Amino acid sequence: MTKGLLLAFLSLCATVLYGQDSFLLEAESFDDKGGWVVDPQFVEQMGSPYLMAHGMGVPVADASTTVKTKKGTYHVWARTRDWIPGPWEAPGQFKVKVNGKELNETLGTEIGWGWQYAGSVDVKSKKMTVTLQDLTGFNARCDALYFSTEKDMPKIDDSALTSWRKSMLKEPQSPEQTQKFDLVVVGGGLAGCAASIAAAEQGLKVALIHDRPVLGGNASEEIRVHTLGIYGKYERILRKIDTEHYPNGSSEAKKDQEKRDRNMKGYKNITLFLNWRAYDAKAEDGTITYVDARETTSGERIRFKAPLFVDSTGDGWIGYWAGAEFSYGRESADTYGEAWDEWGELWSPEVADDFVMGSSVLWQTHKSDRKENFPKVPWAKGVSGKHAAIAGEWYWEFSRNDLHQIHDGEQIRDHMLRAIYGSFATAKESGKHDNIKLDWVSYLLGKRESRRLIGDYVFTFKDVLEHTKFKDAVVEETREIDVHFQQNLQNPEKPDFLSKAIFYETESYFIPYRSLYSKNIDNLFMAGRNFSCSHVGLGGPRVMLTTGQMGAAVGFAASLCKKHQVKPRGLYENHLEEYLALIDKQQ
Amino acid sequence: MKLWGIVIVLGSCGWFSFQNDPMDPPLFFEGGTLWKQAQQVEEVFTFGDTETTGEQQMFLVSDAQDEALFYYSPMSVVVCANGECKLAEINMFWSLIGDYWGYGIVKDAPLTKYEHAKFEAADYAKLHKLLANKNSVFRHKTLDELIDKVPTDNPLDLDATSGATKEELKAEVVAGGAYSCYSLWHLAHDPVVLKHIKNSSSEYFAKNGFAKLLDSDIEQYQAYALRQIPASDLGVYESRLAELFTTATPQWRVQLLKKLPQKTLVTSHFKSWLYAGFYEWDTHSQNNLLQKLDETMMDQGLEILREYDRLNENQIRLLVSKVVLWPSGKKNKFIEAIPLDKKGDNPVADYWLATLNKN
Repeated sequence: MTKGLLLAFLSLCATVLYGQDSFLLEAESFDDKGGWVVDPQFVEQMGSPYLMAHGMGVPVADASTTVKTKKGTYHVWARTRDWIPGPWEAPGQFKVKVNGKELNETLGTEIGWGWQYAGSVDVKSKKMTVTLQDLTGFNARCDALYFSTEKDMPKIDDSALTSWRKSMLKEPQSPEQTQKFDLVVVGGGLAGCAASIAAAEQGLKVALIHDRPVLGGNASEEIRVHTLGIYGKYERILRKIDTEHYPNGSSEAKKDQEKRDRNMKGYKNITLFLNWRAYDAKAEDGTITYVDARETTSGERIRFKAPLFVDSTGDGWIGYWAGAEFSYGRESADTYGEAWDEWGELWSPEVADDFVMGSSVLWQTHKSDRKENFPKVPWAKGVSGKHAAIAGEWYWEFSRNDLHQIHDGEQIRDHMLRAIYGSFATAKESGKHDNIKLDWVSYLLGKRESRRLIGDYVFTFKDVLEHTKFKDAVVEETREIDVHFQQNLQNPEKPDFLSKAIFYETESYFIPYRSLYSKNIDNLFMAGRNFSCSHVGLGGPRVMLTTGQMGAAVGFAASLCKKHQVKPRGLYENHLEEYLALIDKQQ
Repeated sequence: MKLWGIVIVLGSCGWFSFQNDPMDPPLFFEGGTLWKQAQQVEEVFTFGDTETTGEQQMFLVSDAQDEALFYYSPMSVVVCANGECKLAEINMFWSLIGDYWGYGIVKDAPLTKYEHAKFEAADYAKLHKLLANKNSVFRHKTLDELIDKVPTDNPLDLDATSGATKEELKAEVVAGGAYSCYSLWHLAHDPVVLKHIKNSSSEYFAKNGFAKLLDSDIEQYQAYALRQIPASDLGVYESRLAELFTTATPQWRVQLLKKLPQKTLVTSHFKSWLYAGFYEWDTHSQNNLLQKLDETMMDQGLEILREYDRLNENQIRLLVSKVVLWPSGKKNKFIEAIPLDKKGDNPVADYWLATLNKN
């Protein structure tokens, strides 16, 4: 049964109790999503995955679903928002149709996530077909629809929304099913994939939970950043999941996607949970006992139990929920002795702050053999200004000192969409690019920096400068340290969505195993950008072959933890030699 | 390392006379007109390896009032080609905080490249550009890594030693002069030299204060001074610091705002400069000021609020989050002062201010 039908059914049950007919329909659970996409990136902030009409200026095909219901007159509300309020027509507008009848109100026109009245409809059959009709092609969004025979929508504060949803859906407190594995890896970017492969090859039964339909994270065809760095001792594994050096944003990413998905699906020991997003992790006495995850469209839930977990979510969510110590932001230059006088504040600040490296949204155009039109986008020009562009690259990146790369993710993504649409529109208006067509714009943030979980060792820039030879070195890298800053810090005339990179060339440096497990959660590994490091320390190892190396390293560590029945720290203390020998054998 | 203290007072024609004997005016100099003010030089230390570059002297150059201006070293560098070695003479300049600033050559002693052919005008410019690049490929590579040992037919590919300049280097160096470029870059950016310059300057500023650096138009000087001055002493310089807000780049303004205590930000100097210019600043600077708003800054907050419709959503939220923490008297006064005539110009701002009213 689909989530929509389930909800409708449960709601009908609720009717008896409350003396009214009302039910909640989650948009992401629609049977036919048409051209709308499921966006699960901001669940922790706004409460749910939602459907978004990401048409890049062309209205997308309708999304629809059919539910069983009672006859009657229903009032309908949509949880939505105007994503750029201002003195212009809201950019993302849509309408709701019920059994083919268009409801009166145009939606997506009110500020902030909230319930907007769509209209009322007489339902004369016991089936209801609900349709979302995109009107603008510019990122209309719909989280859920609420149907009620009552004229007033119950008042629900944002703080009570989760519990209200649960009551509407009659969801039990815990997931209905539990599955057990040797290792649960959360996050299917390069680090998570490599961790899964390494552990599975050593015989562990692995669950890989990933909130997208395809693997690879920033390297996936959905974000399209090429992999950089060296393979270290894990070339065989990393070549199964890496990318060619295509231009960032190129559709060539699709070929590597096929390779990666095919290779990952070839491992019998890895159970892939694609489109599953973890939403909780429970620790008791410093040990994670389970991770809960939800299928992003159906809402189905599973409790994952294992003796060992890997947090490769990028944002450090598993550690965060479990109570792991973490850091966010830029340490003061004195904290770890990371000053680089030539670059001063842009490299490492005198006073600590939260001004981290930004997130990118990549995009691609192509030259057509005919004139290609693009709509006017007055709502984008406040961001793009006079900037004109027909291509993006890594330096289309946004960070601002009042924006948190996790909590304000939707705002950052939307800012980048405005930057792209506005700059492209300006290029088109110039008359010099009549045949250029906007092919693809990612709607997923390519993040560089977010939470960093703290391990037994915090890797810093000093370890690069001094080429620290750790006895537990498990990752080696030669790529330069590369810290970004926003161009408008140097020149206020520059658009705020473009960055620059400061490169520090280096010889080989090493990352110790002790930076890859949590200091205070004793069965939690981390791999990827959320490993234990400082802001500047992250500058080099954040690229994906390096994070892939981290993943492979923790996958092998997990296998020996199982063999010796020890926790990650115990492996370092008692079995380091065997662990390093196992890694050496991979070459 | 010898630290000397001999002061040479230049002739009545000042710098020019010194320049001509033995030194011509610099070919390139990033310190503007400062070199024309030079009246005295004092040798402050020697550096260099007698085996390779030879021992060099470093002078601190000052004006007639004993104000330090910059550093200067008349250097002799050995350049060899085809078994024949020759001294290249160059006068190099550094700022008071150790940034390479430029160079000059000695009259009748032009720099040379392959087979001691003279540098041309474009070569000198290219050399300066190279020396000014702190992050040149030279930083991390040895000369051996940058020169192919395989002979080439093109003499301009050849360096003054032997072999061909690698592709990655060609864009950066003077054709046929890779060795000279390499040696000079490492003199301009020698970490030991920079350390001694910084030590020498630190002693100077400890005695003479940072006012001159802050008064300078050179942003690197201002930033350096700001790093060196303890937050508790910043009040001494508040007039100049406030003035700097009008010309500072965002990164420098942000740095300043982060460091300045609230009590300084509400002084009369700052009041006139800071809040009048607020809406002309970049968002990062604005946010740093908003971040500091406490009840002692209510008047400044009200000044900003006059045009609240120019704030973005996050800034309004930030403002609200600060104001709700104020004592109720001040908070209510603030809410009452919201200029309702702005309502409608910025629906996002109205929305968030409504939340302030609710709280």
